[in-house]
Amino acid sequence: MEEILKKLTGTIGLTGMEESAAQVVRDLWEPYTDELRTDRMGSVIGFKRGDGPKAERLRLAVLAHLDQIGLVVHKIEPGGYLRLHRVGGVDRRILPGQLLTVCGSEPVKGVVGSVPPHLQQAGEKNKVTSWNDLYLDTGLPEREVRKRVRVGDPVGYPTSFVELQNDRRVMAGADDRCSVAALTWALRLARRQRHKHDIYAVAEVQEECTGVGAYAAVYGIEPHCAIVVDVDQGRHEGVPEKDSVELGKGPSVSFGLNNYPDLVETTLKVAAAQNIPHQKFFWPSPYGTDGSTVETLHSGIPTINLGIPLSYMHSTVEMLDMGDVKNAGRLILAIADADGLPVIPPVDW
Amino acid sequence: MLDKLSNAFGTSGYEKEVRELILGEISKKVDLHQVDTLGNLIVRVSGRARYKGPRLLLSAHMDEVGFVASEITGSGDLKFQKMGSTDDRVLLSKRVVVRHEDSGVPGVIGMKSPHLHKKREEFEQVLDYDKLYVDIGCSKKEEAEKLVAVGDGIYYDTRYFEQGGRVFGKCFDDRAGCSVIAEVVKGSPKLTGGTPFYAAFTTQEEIGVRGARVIGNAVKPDVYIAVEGTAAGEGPPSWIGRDASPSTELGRGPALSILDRSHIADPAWLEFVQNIAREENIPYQFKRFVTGGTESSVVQRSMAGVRVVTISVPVRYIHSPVGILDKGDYRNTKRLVAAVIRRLEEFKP
Repeated sequence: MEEILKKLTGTIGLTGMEESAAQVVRDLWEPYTDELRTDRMGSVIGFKRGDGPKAERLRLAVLAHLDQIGLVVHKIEPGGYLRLHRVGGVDRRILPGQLLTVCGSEPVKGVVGSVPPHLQQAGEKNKVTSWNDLYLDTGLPEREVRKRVRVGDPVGYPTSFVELQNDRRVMAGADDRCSVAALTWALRLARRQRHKHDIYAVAEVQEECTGVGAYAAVYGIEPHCAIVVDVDQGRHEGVPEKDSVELGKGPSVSFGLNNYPDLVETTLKVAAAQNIPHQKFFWPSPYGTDGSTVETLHSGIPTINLGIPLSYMHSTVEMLDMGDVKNAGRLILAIADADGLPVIPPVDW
Repeated sequence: MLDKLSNAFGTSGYEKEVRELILGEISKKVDLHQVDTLGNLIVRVSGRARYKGPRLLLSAHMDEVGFVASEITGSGDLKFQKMGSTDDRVLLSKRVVVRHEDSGVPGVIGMKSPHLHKKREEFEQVLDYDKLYVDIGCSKKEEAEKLVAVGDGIYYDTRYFEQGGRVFGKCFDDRAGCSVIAEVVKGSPKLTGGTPFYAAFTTQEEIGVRGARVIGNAVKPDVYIAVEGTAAGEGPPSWIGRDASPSTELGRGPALSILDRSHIADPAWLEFVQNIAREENIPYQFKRFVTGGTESSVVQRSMAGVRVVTISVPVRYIHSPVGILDKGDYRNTKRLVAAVIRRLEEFKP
């Protein structure tokens, strides 16, 4: 599992520029799926046929988004300093002193400049550095920078993977590659484990910015039901209980709003039956994950949102618990084998 | 040697690992060494018996800017205090190591995810260090107490690497100075022409120039050189015109200080060093911003006074997790220090 997650977070694939990450997913899913394709928008869709009789087999779509937040080069300044523009919800306060990688024709590393305390003007330290004063320094001469870096090149967070205590792991881009990892785990288990329904595994593009990937990917599948796997706020100091879930207590099973009640019931039932640790999480608002999109596609799709608890989301040090990722994978497969998934019969008006 | 020294741990008062590393590298070349009460490593490099010139002492400080664990919270996180001056703005979303006895426990300084901010103004607030903590992956105080303790040193988890002619790493202030002196000692007598000299690798510079206060009285030198890593205040065009830009520049050779906030260099001694640089065709520059202090100040006050000068390797982003220096500057600093030692008998004030 750890190898899977390392592979998935080891490749930068910012929103709208997911191809290199898509290749990693295709390589991982190839041995576990019956069919594999990449749709027009760039999302990877894997099909794993169910074991149930044809009449009872439902089409179950399981989605996790492939893209991650980051930055792009938007200007090369005299001296070779690079101006950055954000892609997705980057809190610029994390940037000073950060080691980033420009992923152009060849990777170039750089550090985001910060004024040493010795050289600061009075009061400067009390102001958040503005985008105008942030830049990436590769240390290379301007001529060399212009040769290796182009405006528009993605700039990714560090791809290191750090082991902390208690199965906790730190990486950037766990949002949402850890869900892709959970989905990969489910497909892997599905080689030996029965699952009644057809699984359409989707690693979809562009969740962090436009949300467009989910529309296109689901359109071709017309699923009876959908599972959307994403990250939920992990609980740590300063985060209210109502907004968060605990690391190490299993994936969250959401209820309310974007979650179809019968599907929530079924999910809780199979989780209990198979002793899969999980925690219930009230979905407070239709905020911008693909769960809220998928529910409203076609003539409406019964959807459930599963969440992997993640602390320090959107930072370069996102933290998760490996057990939660595995259990999310188990839970996906348990749902794919469940009786009583909701089917809304179509009406020919 | 710079790579090993940059990667080593040694916050103020915790210089043991750095000291042992340096001694291991140079012990064959020194005929006398002492670890004094304050933890300074003082060494003598013997030379020609008929040497008639002044007695020279060099020093560089071993300690780096870092942190110390001050409290273990109920949820197993570590509150910390700063050791040396750090701009709170470089702390967010960084990987660190907690040094407990001989083991390193990895951790992160995280922050609340942007999704959890209720108001836009929150993104404009600098987070003070005392609101932050190091997360090592524990959930309970008792769990953390088995691995770390109050008083443990904390440092940035930054690994040295080279790109183009530039090197990236932590604490080149002042491991660059340690490395220059250690390499000159290692290269003696070939580099130094058999001139006897003394060198001190000192402690606790970053918290008030503590260690170096005693080395002048111990060695009783006539002349002294502090070898430092100093701030290069370069940046993109928007920085030009700031009071501090540029203080020193990468690629223009070692920086000589005429004065800083703590001392004025001895004019005759500074003139001698400049002449050597010119005659040996070693590029050099002056530090052009009066800021900070160096060990020159306290050695100058030893006994009845010592002639002092500071020679520095320019480093961008000192006191942050990642600095950049130029390999040519490093080499030229070493050449200049070695040439001054080799021709020391010519100094007749």
